[in-house]
Amino acid sequence: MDMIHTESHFNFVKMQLLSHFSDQIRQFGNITMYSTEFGELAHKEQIKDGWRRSNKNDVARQILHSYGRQHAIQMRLVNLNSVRHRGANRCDNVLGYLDKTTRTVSMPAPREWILKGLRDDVSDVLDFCKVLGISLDRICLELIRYSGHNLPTKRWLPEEPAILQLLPVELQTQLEIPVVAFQETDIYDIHRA
Amino acid sequence: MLRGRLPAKLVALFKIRDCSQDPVRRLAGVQMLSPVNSGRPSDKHSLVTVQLREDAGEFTLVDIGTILGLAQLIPEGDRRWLVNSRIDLRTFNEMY
Repeated sequence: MDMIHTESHFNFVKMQLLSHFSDQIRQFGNITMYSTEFGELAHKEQIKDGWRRSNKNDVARQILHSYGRQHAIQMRLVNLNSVRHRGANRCDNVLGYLDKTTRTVSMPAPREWILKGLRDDVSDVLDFCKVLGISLDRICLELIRYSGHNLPTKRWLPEEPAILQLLPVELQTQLEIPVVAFQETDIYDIHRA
Repeated sequence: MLRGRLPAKLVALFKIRDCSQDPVRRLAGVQMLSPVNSGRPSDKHSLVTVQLREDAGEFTLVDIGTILGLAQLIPEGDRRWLVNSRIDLRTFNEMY
């Protein structure tokens, strides 16, 4: 027991480092700014996956080619989706071609955005305005803008406020969104609002 | 930090149906925000600050499919918020 008392002390490196933390955070910023998450993620996607796909001969070159191709395909998909989103008025065969092109590349399983929590005090656009405290004119203008920018011409919403205000509306209170989990490609966290 | 994503404040979630056509539109009413300091996190708390966009109306409609993720907004004055991207959303939803 005496030996424990005589040999016990806190004079070791970890305790010494603690005394420098406050000065170093003031000087360099907080530690979370220097996150290594991105580097770790790159290590998995760029190197490990590339190595598994290679035939293990001249591996470095194959890893680089593999990631370059994968990146190019992802960029092409993003561009195609962007064209499809903007081109609501394009002819059907172009959109059909884009669908066919994008579906040939394997993608994660389709994700679903879920709306929940129906409020029963709103049945049409007029009720919706009252509950939110926003003017009917403002909502109508926004609905027309949304319709013109995002829907094909055949499916535009009516532009007359008298018709718009009577369109059926279901006001919801919850939204669930699947978001890809950190360092995963096919596992999703559910964000709720 | 926002990696090209546009920040917005969620105001309402709703479905609207045009009786003359079949599909139900699932929409979200949002207030568009813009990142302060080019979206760089603060040295003090390492969170991104966002503020109401000058050119944004009080209400913008977007398809809910365009919402890529959710984060808690902590008010910082009248028109500014901190994006709390660090909270465990599962715990947050259970608590609030």
